[in-house]
Amino acid sequence: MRARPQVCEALLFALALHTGVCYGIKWLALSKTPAALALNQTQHCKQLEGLVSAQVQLCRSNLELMRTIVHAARGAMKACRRAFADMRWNCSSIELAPNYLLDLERGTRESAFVYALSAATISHTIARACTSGDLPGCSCGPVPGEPPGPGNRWGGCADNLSYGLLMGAKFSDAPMKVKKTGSQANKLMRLHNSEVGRQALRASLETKCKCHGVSGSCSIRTCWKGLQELQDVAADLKTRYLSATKVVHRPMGTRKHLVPKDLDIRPVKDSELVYLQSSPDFCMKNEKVGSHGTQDRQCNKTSNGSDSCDLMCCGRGYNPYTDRVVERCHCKYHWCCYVTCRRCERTVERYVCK
Amino acid sequence: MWVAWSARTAALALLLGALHGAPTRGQEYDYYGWQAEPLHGRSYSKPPQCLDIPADLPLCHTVGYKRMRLPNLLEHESLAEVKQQASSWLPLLAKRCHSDTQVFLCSLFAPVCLDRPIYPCRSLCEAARAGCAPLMEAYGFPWPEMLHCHKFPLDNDLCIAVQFGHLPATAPPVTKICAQCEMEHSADGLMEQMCSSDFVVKMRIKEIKIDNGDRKLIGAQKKKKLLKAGPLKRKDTKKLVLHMKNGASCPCPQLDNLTGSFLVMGRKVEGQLLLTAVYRWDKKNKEMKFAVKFMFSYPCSLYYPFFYGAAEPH
Repeated sequence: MRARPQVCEALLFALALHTGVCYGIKWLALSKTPAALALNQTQHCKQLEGLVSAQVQLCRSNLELMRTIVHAARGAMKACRRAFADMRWNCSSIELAPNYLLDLERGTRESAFVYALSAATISHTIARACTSGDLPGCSCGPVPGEPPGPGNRWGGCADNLSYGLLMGAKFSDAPMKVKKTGSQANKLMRLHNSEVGRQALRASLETKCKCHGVSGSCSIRTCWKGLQELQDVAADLKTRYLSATKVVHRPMGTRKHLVPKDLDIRPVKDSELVYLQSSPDFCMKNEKVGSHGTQDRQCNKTSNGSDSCDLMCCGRGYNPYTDRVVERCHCKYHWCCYVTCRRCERTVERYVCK
Repeated sequence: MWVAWSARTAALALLLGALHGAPTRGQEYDYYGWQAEPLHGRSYSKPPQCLDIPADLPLCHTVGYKRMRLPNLLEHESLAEVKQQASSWLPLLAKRCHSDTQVFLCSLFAPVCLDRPIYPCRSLCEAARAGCAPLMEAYGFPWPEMLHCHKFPLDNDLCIAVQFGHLPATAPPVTKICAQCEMEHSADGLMEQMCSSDFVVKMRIKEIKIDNGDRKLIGAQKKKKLLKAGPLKRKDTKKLVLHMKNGASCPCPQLDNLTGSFLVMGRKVEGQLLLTAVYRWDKKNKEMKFAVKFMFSYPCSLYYPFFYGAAEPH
């Protein structure tokens, strides 16, 4: 009789933990895949970290794709940290994949960005891998139907965006398609935000041209459809992060939908990131909400932006310190063909938050 | 060699330091070669590669180094693209319009493999342009946008400076023949010239006028035969005026005597007819007859050279 309460407590705890689990971006743990793992046999798929069973199955049936997806995981992390380097929340917690803190576990604005960026990155990386010939299963994107413009012609190798979107979504959305996992609201939010990421990627497809005329002239211009660089897509998504919309899960007709919390007269737009739970200010360390805090973070004394010492340090003040920097100087190119440099030391003054 | 050179430089640095009465903050020189991670520049899909300059890239195979960076500094992304675009510059190289033409072109088409891109200095670009742009203009090709000299850095220690342009001339300078008057003797050479020309016409020349830096060839009304029409219409041939760009002050043996017929090749550029080659018509010349007869059977390449000169590199 006394044993039963313990069993009930354990079940409740597991259930509580279960509802918040964000399987959708655990695959970013692939960035830690050791180079020694060749990924040329199907049994290697079981050794990969952060995958749900559907993703393991995709790994087995598309083994040649996995090297590219590992590359995508690294690219997503790098792009996220770069895009948020000047913010209090600087995406450092993404390195903890697959065991995230609550800033990414919960339905926050930050997780909205990471879901969108991950979806965009995997599709971007696959599309580019088709172009570069790294993937045997696909090749250049299709020649567009519209004419390329006067004096231009289609040529080169277009980024294969449609293949990238297809295979990317199949892999990165797989965890959200599992029926048992998580709440419906979280699932809808994550699928929506992933689709926003892919939409941003579609919008970044543009016509690029090169002069291929005689003697470098522009009498013949070869054009192709190419994607913008991943960091440009990340910058676009960051803009959407800053204007993201808080939503609630509300019945509309016979179904439940995500609708804006404050302006619930309109549906959610396809282009806007959405979140269910508000974020802290990330000033102080608080593991309950997944905040690292800004103590000991470097800040910019002369900046007016988010990396300024006033904003980054949340008014707590900052400490200056001097750092010695060794760098190359007096570099000289010699024909033919090498460069010589000297090594110079200088001191720089840096500022860290109190 | 490098070590000795470095030692001398280090010694010099120490001496200078002693003279200033304070130790210099610079230390011994380090050498930098190829690294896989790109420091700057756009890398599309892949980080830059370091490849052997292939034997079938004749523009740069003899430039003085053996390996090149890809993508190159003209954003060509494959060797096939580099070869294709470089091929139209070979005839310019053959003209020897500047002693550093190859150094300049190859610094962009097949740049050296180092941990950072090394661009040509602006002075190198300006020297090559000064030597070669008039020749290109004579054939109706402006100095291209991709080689505009303002794109390249003002001279500093990390760009490629003029290398051979400083050498003293080994022979006294001779007045150079007009580019349009250099003679091709083989049928193949003539047909290559016909490929790079818009039109080919057998005609008589009534008179020649000087117009600024150009010569103007006024065609006679009669005894005109259009061998390759190209963009010319019937009305165009009624009164033919051909411009010999930059041809006012250079010798042209073919035009010393205007009697008889001439084989003339040209291009139509912005409504103006530019002369690209002129020969005295010689009905006994078998090579010329063959070229005229089989002109349209000759396999012109898609990216034909803009001109085909008789001068060969020695």
